[in-house]
Amino acid sequence: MHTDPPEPSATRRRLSARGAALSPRRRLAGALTGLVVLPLLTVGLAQLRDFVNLPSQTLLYLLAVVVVALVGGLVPALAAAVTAAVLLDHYFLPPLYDFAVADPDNVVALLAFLLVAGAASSVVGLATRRREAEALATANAESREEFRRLAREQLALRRVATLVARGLPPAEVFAAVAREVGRVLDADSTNIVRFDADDAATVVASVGRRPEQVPVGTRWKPEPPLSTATVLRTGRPARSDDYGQAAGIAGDAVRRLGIRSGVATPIVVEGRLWGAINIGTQGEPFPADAEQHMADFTELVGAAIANAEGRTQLEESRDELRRLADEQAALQRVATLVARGVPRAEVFPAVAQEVRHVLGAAASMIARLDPDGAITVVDRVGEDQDGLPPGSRWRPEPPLALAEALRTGRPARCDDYSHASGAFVDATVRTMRIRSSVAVPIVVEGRLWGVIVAGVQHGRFPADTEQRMAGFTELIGTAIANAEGRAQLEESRDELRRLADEQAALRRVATLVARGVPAAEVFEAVAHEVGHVVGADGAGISRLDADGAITVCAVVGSLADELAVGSHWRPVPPLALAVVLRTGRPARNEDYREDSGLPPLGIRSGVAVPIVVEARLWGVISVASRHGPLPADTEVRMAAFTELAGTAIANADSRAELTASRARIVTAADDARRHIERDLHDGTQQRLVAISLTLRLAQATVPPGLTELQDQLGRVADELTGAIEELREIARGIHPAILSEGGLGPALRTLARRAAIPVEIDIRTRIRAAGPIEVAAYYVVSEALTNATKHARASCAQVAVDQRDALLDLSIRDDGVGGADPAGGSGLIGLRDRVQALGGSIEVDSPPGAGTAIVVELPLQPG
Amino acid sequence: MLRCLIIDDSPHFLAAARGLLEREGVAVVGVASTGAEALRCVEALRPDVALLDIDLGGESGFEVATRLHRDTGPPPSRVILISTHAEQDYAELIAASPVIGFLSKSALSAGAIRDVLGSGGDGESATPVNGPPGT
Repeated sequence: MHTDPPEPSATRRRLSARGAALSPRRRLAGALTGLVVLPLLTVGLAQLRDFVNLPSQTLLYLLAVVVVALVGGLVPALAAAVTAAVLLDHYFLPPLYDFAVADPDNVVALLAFLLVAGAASSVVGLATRRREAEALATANAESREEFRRLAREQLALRRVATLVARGLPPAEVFAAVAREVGRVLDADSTNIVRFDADDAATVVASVGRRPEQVPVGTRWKPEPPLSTATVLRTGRPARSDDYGQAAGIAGDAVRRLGIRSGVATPIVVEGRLWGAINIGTQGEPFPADAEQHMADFTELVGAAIANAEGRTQLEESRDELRRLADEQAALQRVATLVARGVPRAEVFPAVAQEVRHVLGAAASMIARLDPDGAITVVDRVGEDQDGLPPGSRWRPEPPLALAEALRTGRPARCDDYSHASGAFVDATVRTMRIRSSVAVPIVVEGRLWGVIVAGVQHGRFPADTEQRMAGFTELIGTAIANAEGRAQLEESRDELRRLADEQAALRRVATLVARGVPAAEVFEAVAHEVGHVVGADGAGISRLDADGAITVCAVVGSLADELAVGSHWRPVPPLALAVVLRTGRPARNEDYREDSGLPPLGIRSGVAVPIVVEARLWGVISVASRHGPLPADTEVRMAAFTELAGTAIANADSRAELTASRARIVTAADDARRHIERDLHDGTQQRLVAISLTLRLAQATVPPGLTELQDQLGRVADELTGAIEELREIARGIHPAILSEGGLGPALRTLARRAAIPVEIDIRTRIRAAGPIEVAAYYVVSEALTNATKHARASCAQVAVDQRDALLDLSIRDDGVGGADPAGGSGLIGLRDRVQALGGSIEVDSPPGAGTAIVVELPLQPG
Repeated sequence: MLRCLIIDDSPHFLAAARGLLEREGVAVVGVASTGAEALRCVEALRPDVALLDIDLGGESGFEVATRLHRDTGPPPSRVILISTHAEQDYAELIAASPVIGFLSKSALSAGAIRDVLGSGGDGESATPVNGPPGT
């Protein structure tokens, strides 16, 4: 690489080959010198003609020629020699002021002068030319040296530039630059410093004879007379040649290194003073252009730093992007879980895991804030967490991050656990060797719900950790709010379902009430529905009797085995039943230890509500549970049923009254008709019969011959008999006497015999029903047979009577045209009223063309 | 002469019936208006026939007839049921009753009694005296 220094012989050889001429500039200078010196000398010598003799004059001219030779080389010197000879001849050789030479000696002298002058000119010119050549050679050599230095410098710069371009770490670039600068400028010590924000300088590279004296990382405040201080102050290159007063570690180092002179040049990165390159030497001060040389390097250093910073920023932003992407992906995953509405139990571990992953934490935990200020671990991930099981409760205290976060409702961190203590600290910080933690509160719909906390075992969390966790806490908040909303929805749905069930139960009972089924049946249904609706083990309805005791009217569920319907007993407080009877208001009891008059039923909770019928306490509905307290709204929900039960009872009462009064009306009418028939029979008929007999006696008594009178009496008797017959028929229509005398069977058979069509009669009972019942049955059959004959044009009919339990079953069928409408007039309506008034039922099945079937059920006793 | 006992709770009928029957040659040996009275009279008077009203006040003529048949005699007294009702109304009960026949009160006469006695005097079943009414 290095060019060898040129040999002196080569220089000479080159010089001779170049010829004898000096540069035209020097020749001109020689000529001008001659033009100046010779006239002056001539004028001077002319003035001193009397004191200077010819030899001296000659010598002086010779001297002038030598001078010209020295200045301009051989050619001007020769010209000067000729000129000097002419001037000498003209002014000083006689004849004066003439070019002729009088004295031949003088001619010789002039010739000698010319020769000597020429020789001298030649010698001097040669010498001058050599000196010129030598000077040129020296200059050449110097510029060659300079070139080599430049080349080295360029090389150094290129090496550094290569390093910079290769993107090596700044530290390596710095070291290389320092090395190259030191080498290029032949420094004994070179270092590069960075200026920090506090105007301190930090050594980033140090090379030289003893680099350990100024190790990398050394930091000091540059102060005058250090050149670094000047650079820092002015931003321009500076040098220092006197370190005697230098203070501080830099001064000490400078003295230890024996630095006597130093130069510092600024490193400027993107317009701002970044640092400086310092060089120092133990010898002579650096050449004046040292700063300039260094400038190239500082520029490179600046570029390297700018590069490195740019790359670092790029890397950082790339890392940041990756981190953000990771974080976004994590958030997305969690958000998906939340959006899918997976249970909180699944969201929490996912969040804890993602937070741990995103933050690069050793552990993370989600905890719920309890009303008492303690926390409950909801979920946690990480190592060595056995001491922190989910569900465990803690009471962490400051300076723990989560305690702070819960206290302030704001993110908090803790980087110093030296003063932390307590069970939580033992279970977490100590066991898990947590060095730094960050906690962020979880807020659900404006209320502090809990906290998420993450911890690391090494180093500290970056400053933006809280911010990054916030995204997760928001998601958790949403998940919790979602779950709570869903739970509320479920609850309200359950509530709706419950209400619907309740309404359905009420409707079923109401339907029974409206259908007017017997109260006992309603009671049973109410007890069943109430027990079911309130979730009781048993339910019952009891009637308050006049003596203050109660009679069980209905009982369902597990109580049914112990408390039979119809049982009569006297409840005592604290039984809810007894309290209701005393206060007339709903009551509940959850203390069954004392003797309550009940058999040992194992009841733990009982509720009773009053049944009020027409402003009077009628009885009680009570429910009981063997499995703990009945719900708080049990009383309210039973109320609707008690109202229905009350209505059913009132209905049943009024219906019973109506039925009874209808029956009474029917019975009264029957009685009245029977009395009329009786009176007719016992009174009028007997009298008429007596009159009829008396008349026939009178007829027999009429003397023979009074034929006309006999005939008249006979006609009257016959008329009377007819009237009696008619009256008999009328009486029978008013009331069939046979019923009273012989009962239903004979009466019906009589009907059958009297019917206009054949009647098949089948009576399977001999039991006597109550009078109104038999009358009703009689009229049913009578009317049915009349219908069959008159309207249905039947050819025959069947009548069946049977008795089943307390019911009398009647059926009348014919083979007539059918089409009888029980609502469309005819005697069937009267039958229906009569039968129903007595508590019976009647069904008429009369499809057109298929005969008529009438089926009647009558109680043996009316009611 | 046929000896007859009339059992009826209607004094008008008793008077009219006695007058008519005696005029027609039947000896009305006594009258009764209750079941107990009827039993005593039958025991004491031993009539050839007892005319017994089905509607004997509060008592049932059928029951009195049964008692007369069961509690008097031997031989059991012969009873003819009488009523203002049609025989058909009571046909079943009459048939089941220990009587020799039935006579409608308005058709009562010595001849009618003799007819009943003649046709079924020794039998248990009565012969209808008048046709089915109302048909």
